Amino acid sequence: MSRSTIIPFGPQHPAFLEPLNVSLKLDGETVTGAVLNLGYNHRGMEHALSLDYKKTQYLAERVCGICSNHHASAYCQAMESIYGVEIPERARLIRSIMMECQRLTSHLLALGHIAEAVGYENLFMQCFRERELVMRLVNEISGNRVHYSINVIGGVKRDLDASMEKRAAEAMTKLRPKLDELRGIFARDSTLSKRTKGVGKLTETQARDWCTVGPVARASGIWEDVREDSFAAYGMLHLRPVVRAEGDCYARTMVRMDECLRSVDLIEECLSLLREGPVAVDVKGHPTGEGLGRVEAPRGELVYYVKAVGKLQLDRIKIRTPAFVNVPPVQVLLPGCQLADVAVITVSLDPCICCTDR
Amino acid sequence: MSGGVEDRGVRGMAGGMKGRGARLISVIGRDRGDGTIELVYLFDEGGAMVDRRFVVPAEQEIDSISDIYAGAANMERENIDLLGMRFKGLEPGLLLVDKSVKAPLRKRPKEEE
Repeated sequence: MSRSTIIPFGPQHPAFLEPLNVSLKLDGETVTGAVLNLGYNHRGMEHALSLDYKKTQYLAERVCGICSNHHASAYCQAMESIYGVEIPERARLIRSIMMECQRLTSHLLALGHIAEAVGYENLFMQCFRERELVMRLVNEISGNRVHYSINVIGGVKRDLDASMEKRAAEAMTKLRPKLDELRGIFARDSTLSKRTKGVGKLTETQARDWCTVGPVARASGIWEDVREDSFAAYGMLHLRPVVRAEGDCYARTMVRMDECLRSVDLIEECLSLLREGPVAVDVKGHPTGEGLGRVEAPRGELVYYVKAVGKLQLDRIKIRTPAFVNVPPVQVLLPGCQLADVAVITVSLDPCICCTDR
Repeated sequence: MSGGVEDRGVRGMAGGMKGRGARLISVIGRDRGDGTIELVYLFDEGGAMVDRRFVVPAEQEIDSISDIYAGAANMERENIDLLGMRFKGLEPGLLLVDKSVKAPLRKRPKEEE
């Protein structure tokens, strides 16, 4: 006779970077049920963000430490649509450069995290070593490693001079072979393959039903990338979304790995398109109206809805983060798997609880 | 499309959007300050953002669309926690616990000085 056991997985667990809890029902080593519990990191950000629209950009950047620049970009985009302003081409290109740099740092963190979850410590360290190259580049460009603080409503507040453009191009040249090497390891290492291939398979139908976005959706065969909708400078660039059909942990890992290489391409293309010009336009007066900002953050589509009523205080600001829709499918991925695979499957969704709980 | 649409329309709308292949982006609740809530169902349809709006009394129980879009459950539960709304078959407690401030995004009349 088999006996069911219920165990908590998290909120404090060595495999998780942030607090989330999955209540697991087990029959021996096999998971038979999973319930996701959120809210450990809820900070009331939407309320705080609505208090003073002039300070919102600063605070929006602090919703999450991994995709901070995307939060600020989406907020600025929403406000720019309310003001009805078009930001200069050079500002659009700089925003795209910074967003792709942040995609690199986020994906390399996620790749290192999955390596750690399967017990491959050396690979974890290699991912973080290559990531440091990009961290130093963004620090040189913006003066900050995590919260770039480079966006303002109407453009960007820091420009790239010629020497900075050259250093950024050199950094990409240096990074590309390192990423190629990493890709070879992720694609061919037998331990990684055994732990990720065929594990945690999210079908295309499930991915659509759970409204997933970003690498999670693209790894399940869904051709969807907000960058195709031409925000920032993406309309000027040659974007090639990475889409795979397998839907398992391996596919989600390889989508992120290949997107790192595409990000290098996009940064190089942006640098080649930079021309002299202004990097911001002025906006005046308190805004009135509704605006939507939508960017492709590293984890997928990030949406800001803003309702402004001609005062400092916003009537409503709503953030739909990618992790908010990408994490819940863990409840359909875990039943049937082995307990040892729970960490790998959960981490393969790249859960960000700062974004999910806000 | 806003303006007192009966809640039966929410499910019909969601079913229709799903049939057209639209992806649900978010269910945005906004307190209008007059005892009603505006619910904005935001979709992605072929890359374009499409919204469907409903204005409902704040205390009215709304049909859930979580059986049409599984991903809608947490979006609706978030509105339960933050705006004090009610959705059929869904429980509060996604982001807030019992001891938390109730419905923190609901507008309250200013206290007289």
